[in-house]
Amino acid sequence: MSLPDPLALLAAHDAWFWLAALLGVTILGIAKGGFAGLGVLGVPIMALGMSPVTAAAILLPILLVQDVFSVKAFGANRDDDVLKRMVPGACLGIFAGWALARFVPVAAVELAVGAIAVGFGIQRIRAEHRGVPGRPGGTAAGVAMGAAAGFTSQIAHAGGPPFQMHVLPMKLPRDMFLGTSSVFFAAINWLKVPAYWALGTFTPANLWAAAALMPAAILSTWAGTVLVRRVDGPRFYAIMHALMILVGAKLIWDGFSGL
Amino acid sequence: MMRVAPLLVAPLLLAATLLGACSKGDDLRRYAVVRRADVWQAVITDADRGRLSRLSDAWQQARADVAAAGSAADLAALGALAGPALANPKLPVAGAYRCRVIHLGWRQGQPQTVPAVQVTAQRPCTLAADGLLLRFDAPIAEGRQLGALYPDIDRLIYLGSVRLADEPGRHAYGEDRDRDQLGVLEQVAPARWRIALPWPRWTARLTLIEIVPA
Repeated sequence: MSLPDPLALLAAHDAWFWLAALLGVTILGIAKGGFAGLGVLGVPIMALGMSPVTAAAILLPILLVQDVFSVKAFGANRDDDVLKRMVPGACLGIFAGWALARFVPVAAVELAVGAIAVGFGIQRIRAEHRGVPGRPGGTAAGVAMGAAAGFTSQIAHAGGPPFQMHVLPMKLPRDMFLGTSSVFFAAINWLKVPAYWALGTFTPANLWAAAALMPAAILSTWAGTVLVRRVDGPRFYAIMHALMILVGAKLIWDGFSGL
Repeated sequence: MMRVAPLLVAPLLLAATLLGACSKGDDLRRYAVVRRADVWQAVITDADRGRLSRLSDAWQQARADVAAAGSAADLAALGALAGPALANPKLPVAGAYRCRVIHLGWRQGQPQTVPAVQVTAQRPCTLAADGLLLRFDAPIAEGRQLGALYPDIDRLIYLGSVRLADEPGRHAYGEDRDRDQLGVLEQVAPARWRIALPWPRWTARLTLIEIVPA
């Protein structure tokens, strides 16, 4: 087996590639650091300097490392009851997504999740204005929404809205929401690794590019954790609702583009 | 307290906007949508991307070799296998199949001591489901043809490798360019498909692998 020269692989990219990659990775890091939803801008920004497929392939190993830092920052303060319901559901959803990957139309999933996310985001903003109190999520709903998050994550990288639909109405304390969210998505992303490994997108060129961007990814994740701790609970939830609408709009865009 | 986040995020978004305004245009990039049919593009090597774009040249050169050798009748005997692909194809599903390999033409610089059309006997081969992919496993003269079929718009892209006879383990596509195999799976008749491999390593201008249900 001939090993490719890392420097040659990195030098093959132009300045636009690296500029777009740095920006995309930085925004993704801030998202992973606590502003979930902002990450939806990662691939579009990176795609200004490379193909979206290359962007997604480079981002996956970066996401996995950012997950580790995110869990380290927030994971101690998590809601285990929520995770006990949602993670097993997510395992089922990821498996179903893998098994049905060739038959489920991605665009339809994106459109459905996007429309529901926008509607839910708007409904939550109105509920906040009315001062609706937080409510606990049920076990069956937790398993079902965990499965939905796993399924939509595997099919369309859109696990965020189902998770947030279940957890945002609970009005957990900010740090507990962040801890629960970081552990849940780290679990989902790492569970998806075998399927993505099998796709063969972890090529030497993509892995070396990801490695070169890793310092920026780690620094920006740390910056995100610092920033999010400066935002109080009500404002944090207002940002989450707005970002959910942004994610929904992006999914609707993607879905229509794919029809 | 809230002012810190916009102070950091706003310059990033501004930089992204400027980058977008200044960077090179490209239809695919503008939409920034990752499609299932694009996944193979993150896996294929640059050398094979070029080979794939010249698939029609490989067909043309293979037909020219066959005609020059006076073997046009052998090519015609292949019927639909050497004809145009079906429009609106029905792609194969996982299962047991029978495959035969057809080499057309000669590799550049190769002594023309073998026939321009070589057809092997049908042998069992398999397509196994693996998420988005179909894993292909077929015996060939050199050993085994092993690889994955990736979804594309109305065809499947084959990226694989060759395991030589009695060789332990398996080589993934991209690990050894001398073994890398690239092809396009298309439907040529009801319940009949072919993988066309342009300029395959070691042999021929074009190799076809016929796939029919077992």
